[in-house]
Amino acid sequence: MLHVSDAMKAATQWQTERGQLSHMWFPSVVVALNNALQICAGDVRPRDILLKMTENVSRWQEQRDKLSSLLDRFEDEMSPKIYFDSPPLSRCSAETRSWLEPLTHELWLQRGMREKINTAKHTFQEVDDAFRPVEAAIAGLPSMPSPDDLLPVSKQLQEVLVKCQALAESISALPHRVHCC
Amino acid sequence: MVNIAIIDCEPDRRDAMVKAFDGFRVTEYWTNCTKPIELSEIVLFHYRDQNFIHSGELCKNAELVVYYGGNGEPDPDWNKRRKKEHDQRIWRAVKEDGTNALTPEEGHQLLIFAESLVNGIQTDLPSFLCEPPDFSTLIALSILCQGYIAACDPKNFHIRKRMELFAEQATPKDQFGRAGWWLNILCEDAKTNSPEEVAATIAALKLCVGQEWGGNMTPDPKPVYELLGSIKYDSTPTEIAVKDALENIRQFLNQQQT
Repeated sequence: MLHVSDAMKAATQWQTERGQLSHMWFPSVVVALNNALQICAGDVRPRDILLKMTENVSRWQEQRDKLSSLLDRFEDEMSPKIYFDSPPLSRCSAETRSWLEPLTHELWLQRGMREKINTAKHTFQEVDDAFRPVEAAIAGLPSMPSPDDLLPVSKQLQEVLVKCQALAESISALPHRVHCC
Repeated sequence: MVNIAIIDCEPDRRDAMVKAFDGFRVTEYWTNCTKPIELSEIVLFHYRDQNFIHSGELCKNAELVVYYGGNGEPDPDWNKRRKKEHDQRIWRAVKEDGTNALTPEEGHQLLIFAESLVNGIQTDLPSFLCEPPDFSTLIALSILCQGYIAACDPKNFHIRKRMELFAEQATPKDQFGRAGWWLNILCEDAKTNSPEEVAATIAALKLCVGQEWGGNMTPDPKPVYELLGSIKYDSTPTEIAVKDALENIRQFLNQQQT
């Protein structure tokens, strides 16, 4: 029977949120970006272009905090050190636990995890940074933007999409379960 | 004729599941599909597609609903999340490209199981619907092995230095010289006061490992048993035995998780 500690529940929760990210949050951001690109290309003509563009681009702001939190929590909640909160490893003496737990965590990081975490955080920051000029450009658009007005925005949106793809890949590279060795 | 419904937004995974029921009537659904529903006796349901508008109706009328997903982890909340008592889940990750989907043999087992439910006949759950062991003993043993290797192997001095472990102490091998260091953690009722008690505890521990390793003995757990057998009342296992056991456990756990 699985002994479920709070740490293991947190790991399960992280995996659940990661699933939601992959299937709901992140696709909604990408769909919104593609909608904005279609508006820029003239394929879609909403009545209020400016409003639609703003709504589409704001999807990132709605979701970024969830994603940022997920990435920040990964190292703690998906580390094999969580096994020390349940039997058998919870039976370690305080002396053993004082070195074995941080050692287990460090060895896990050394198995490529540190790089994956840093890559995911770095690509997140790149996406976050890439959205700012887009938001500023849209805020500076006239109330009835012409295709020429939208051209620079379109280029920026395409760059953001490329960075979103890199972010999706870096998150996919994070393990789906807690690895112990 | 049994009707089977598969609700899954990923076409490759859906196709792979359909192949498990060749010759049977299978209807496929996905989140935004608009085809009219046909009530089915068996519903296979990808977890994340629960927004499918007709999912409630399909599941309510089914004899057996089987959930599956890309994350096949043991789920401590499964019993709270399942909607009906007979709901089941596939306890392995069924990937988006269809890897690990049900095989035709497993599809056949599922049909037999569903039929037994309908007829009120007690029957064993097919193995893919059984919650796997949590491997807690093997996981703990792997972590102890890693600690032993990192602390004892001179090549890992840089790790110890980085961790500021034993910086001013002599070799920490003395700490692992007793059976108690291993067994008091791995076994709740460990007895390590005499060679005979240590032997009995190790026998019990081997049984635990055997249960976690399960019926499938690939890879052969022999290196793990050898490590356990080498834990003596007054001496420490060799580094080679510990490294071999760790590699053995790593192979086994990786195999379970793919």
